[in-house]
Order: sequence, then structure tokens, then C-alpha cells
Amino acid sequence: MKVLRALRGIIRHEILLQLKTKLFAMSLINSVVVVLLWGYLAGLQAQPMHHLRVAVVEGALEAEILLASEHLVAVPFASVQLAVAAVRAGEVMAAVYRPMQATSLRVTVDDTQGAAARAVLASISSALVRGMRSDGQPDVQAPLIPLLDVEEAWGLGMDDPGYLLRLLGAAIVAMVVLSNAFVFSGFTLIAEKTSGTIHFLALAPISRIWMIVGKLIANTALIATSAVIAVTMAILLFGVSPNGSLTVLFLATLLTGLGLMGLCYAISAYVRDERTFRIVAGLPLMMPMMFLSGIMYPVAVFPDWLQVVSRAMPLNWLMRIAHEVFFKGGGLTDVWPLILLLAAFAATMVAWGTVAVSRLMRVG
Amino acid sequence: MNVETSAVSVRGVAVKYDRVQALRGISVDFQWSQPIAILGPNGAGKTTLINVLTTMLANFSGEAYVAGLNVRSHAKAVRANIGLMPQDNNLYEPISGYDNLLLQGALHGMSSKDAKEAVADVLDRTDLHAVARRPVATYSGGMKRRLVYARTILHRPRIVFLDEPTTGLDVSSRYALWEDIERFAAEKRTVILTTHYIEEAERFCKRIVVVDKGSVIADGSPAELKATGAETLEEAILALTARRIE
Repeated sequence: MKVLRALRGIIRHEILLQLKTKLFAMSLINSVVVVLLWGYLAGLQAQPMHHLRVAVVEGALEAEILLASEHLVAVPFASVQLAVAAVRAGEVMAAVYRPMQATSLRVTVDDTQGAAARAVLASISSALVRGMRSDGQPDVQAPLIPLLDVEEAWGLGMDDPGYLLRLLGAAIVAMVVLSNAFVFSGFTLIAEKTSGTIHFLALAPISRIWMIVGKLIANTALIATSAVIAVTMAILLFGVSPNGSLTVLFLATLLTGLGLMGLCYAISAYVRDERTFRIVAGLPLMMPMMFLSGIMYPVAVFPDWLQVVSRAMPLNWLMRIAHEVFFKGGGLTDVWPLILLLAAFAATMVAWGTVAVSRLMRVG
Repeated sequence: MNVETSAVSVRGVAVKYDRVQALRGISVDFQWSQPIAILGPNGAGKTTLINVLTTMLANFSGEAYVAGLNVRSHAKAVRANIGLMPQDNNLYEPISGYDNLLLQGALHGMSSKDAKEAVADVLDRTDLHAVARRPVATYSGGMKRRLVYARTILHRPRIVFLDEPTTGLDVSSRYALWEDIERFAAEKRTVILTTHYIEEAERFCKRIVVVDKGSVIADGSPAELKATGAETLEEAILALTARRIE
């Protein structure tokens, strides 16, 4: 009986504690947001993706059919070369054209886009089937679709069993940076707050800015090491073969890591404890970045408005650089605008984090 | 007394936390090499005064000088001259005591060789050599307190602030720690102490400053304070503060 009373007391106390500290409410919101994001994004892939852009060559029969189709957004180009170049530049998902003296249509598809690449092939097929009928009704005598000769723009092997793993290879870097930045900066600073060591550091006879710079350098080195290990594993275990500049990817990793750590320092300077940090930083930052940056789902499958949101995320900039490096042989000349964006992000967040932690080091 | 010749000089320092007036225009000077105790009940303002003097608290009115340096405008130089043993054991628990001490040496700009020598010296003084390589998390409360003290004096500061240094220590550890504090003070270091152990303050300090409700209410030698009619220093302070010192 005594045990039961004690147990009841503990249960009551624990529930009261979680309610009073608002952690339960925050966790509930967290869970709801995860389900909504996950469900919405997974659901998107089951829907016809009518917003996918396909290049066609002006004047060709298939161009007229596709321009009239509701299954995709056809974009006319003056020549086959320009249409294919648009695929390789990432401006459209695929190019549909008939090569000289060929009997079948060729589709050059952006094979770096995973589920979106498969979806655009399906959309093209559907559009062409409908287009081949003169009265809008199925013509059972006609072939369902003209012969389609699919060419992968980057030769990643969409039919290979390891195709998905190769796509995830680029995401590994982003995941490592995201998770390590949170662990190395946010959680560590909160531990310094709760143990009081932050005030011990504040007594050193140097500027407090140097204290934070030292922490950032050390943790950036750790993140870079983790990223190098992860990429090496991806290459050795999953056959991911980056053919672009790894130096550029490394630079992008460092800048993203610095920016995220600065952000986490700033947040952890304001929150009370580790649990609050998990919720405050996880809900508006970590989860949206994980779901919407292109790590878990290709950004091309998102509706236009969500693509705008995604492209505003620093982790998306890193993902795009990783894609360029892993699949397109990209170098600094291809991604310098993204590198500049990441540098600006890193500078802003480090400045904010430094100010916040410097304030934290003072008493009162 | 003036700013240049005093170890500590405080002029009209006032601190307000939200609605609480923690210090009410305190003015006091501490001489070099004279051990001083700041006594008073909980919440009197002792730790707040130490926070001002150690540059931890910048939001105050009035002027404060430590080692002749303004704590606001020369905060880094002040920190180079001082050591602070806080009430809490703010140690890095996952790493060893040795590494905690090495960090202190590095933060004070010591070379690796000098830092290692200084660490060996303070480990000797605090009798922590045997456990130095163990994670601090495995230390007893007394060991942790001694390690905080070792860290406080490692860089040989000219002025040391000890905020309740012996709280939580058993009798023998307290005696051992006091022995070294006295040794350290004898090396021409200025020790400024807060404690709730009145007998320790009486034994060690030549001068006692009593603070209550943010003001200095008495200042003198233990004998001068007892001269008010009290038999013991504790009684004298009780009479001054009119409440029990816990």
C-alpha cells in the first residue's frame, strides 16, 4: 500500500512538473508538427506532380502535345542542345525531343532528383498517351505510349539497386553538419551553463570573444572530421563517387557548421536547460531543415511555395553544393553564389552567438 | 587610502537586481597583503560585491578598483591579477582534475611547461596528486573543493577572493585548506574571504567587514568588533545584524 501511495505521488509530481514547465505542451506541438510535415511531404509523392518542368523543342509534334498537357509544365527551347543544357543546369527536370533519324522519342532526365525524376518520367508518359489520341478517348489500337529512350543526364544509374543510397550520399554531409552542430554547440553550452563553468571561463584575462572563437574553431574541426569520415564511408561502402571539387564541399561544410553553431550558441544562451533547448531549437529549426532542405525528400517534389521556403534554408544551400559536387562534377565556379550565401550566414550567426554568449558570461 | 595603494577600493557601489537593491552605495578600501573577511547573513550582498570586484557583474553604479585598476575599463587586466574561488564547484567533471588545472594555466597565458609545473605545485599543496588523473566526477565533495582552490591559486594571483571556501568540507579538510590559505597569504598575497564560519574569519583575518542589506554596517579588527560588549565575534555580529547568521 505504501509503495502504491509513493508511486501515485511520483506520478502526480512528474505530470505536474511537465505541465508546469510547459514541456508537455511543447512536446505535443513538436509531435504534431513532425506528423504534419512527414505526412504532408510523403503524401506529395503519391500525388501527380503537375508542377514539374519539362523542356521541349519549339515546333516539334511532341512539344505541341506536351505544351497542351496538364500533366506537367512544358517549357519551349529553340534547340535540342539548349533543352538538354537546361536539364544539366537544373532548370528543368527533363528534356523531351526526337533525335535526328530516330524512331523513338528521347527523354534526358535529371537523375539527381530521385523520386522527382521518376515522377517526371511518369508525367511525360501520361501526357504523351493522352496526346496521341485524336478524340481524347483511349485508342486501344494505338501503342500506349511512343517508344521512349530514357537518357540519364548524369549517368547515376536509376535502375541500379544502390541508386537511392547514392542520392543519400550527398545528404550525409548535411545530416552530419546539422546534428553535430546542435550537439557540439547547443548542448555543450547548456552543460557549461548548468555546471557554472561558463563563469569560470569568464574569469580568464582575455576578451570573451576569444573564448567563443576558440570553441568555434575546435567544434568546427570536429564537425569537419565527422563529415570527412562520413563521406569516406559513403564512398567506400555505398559506391558514392564524387566527381566534383571536394575542397569546395569541405569549405561549404565548414561555413554551414559555423553558421549553425553560432545559431545554436545564441539559442542556448537564452534557454534554461537542455530539454527546453531540444524543443526550442528542434521545433522551428532542426526539423524543418531536416524535412525541407532536400535531405529526406527532393525539393523538386514540393509545390512552388514550399520550394521557396526550402531554398531560403542554409542547409539547402549545402545540399545543392553537395549535389553539384557528388553528381555533376561541380566546382567553385558553379556554386560560388551558394558559398557566398553560406559565408554571410556563418558571419551573421557567429556574430549573434558571440554577443549572446558574451552576455551569458556576465552575472546579473 | 587611495586607489593606487589599495588592493581593493570601492566607491559608492550600488547594484540593483530587478526590484532588489543588492548593494546600497558601498565604499570600502582593502590594504595589500591584509587578510580580510566579509561577513554577513545570507542575501546581505557579499557575493554581489565579489562579483563586482571580479568583473563578473558590470551593471552597477559607482566605481570599483582592484590592484589599482578600474574593474570596468580594465576588466582583463583586473582578471589577470585575481583568483576567484566561487561558492559552487564549477569544474569540468568529465575530464580529469589535472586537465582542469592545465586549462586554467592556458587561460592565463602560461606556456605548457610553466603550466605543468604550476599544476604539480598546486596538486602538492592540496594533496590531490593521487587522484589528479581521474575524472572530476569521481571525486568526493572535499576533493572537488580542494581542486577549485588549487585552480584559484594556480596562476599565482596577487589578490584572491574566496567565497565560502570551506563550505561542505569535513573538519580535517577544513584545517588542511586553511593551512594552505595561510601559507598562500604569507607569500604577500591579499586574501579576501566570505564565510559563515565566524571562528575561521576571526582566526585568519586582521580585519572584518560586516555587510547587511547591501550596506557596510561594521568595519574593524575582530577585537574592535567584540569591544561593543559581546563575548564572542559571533555574538557581536549577531547583535549588529540583529538576526541569526546561518
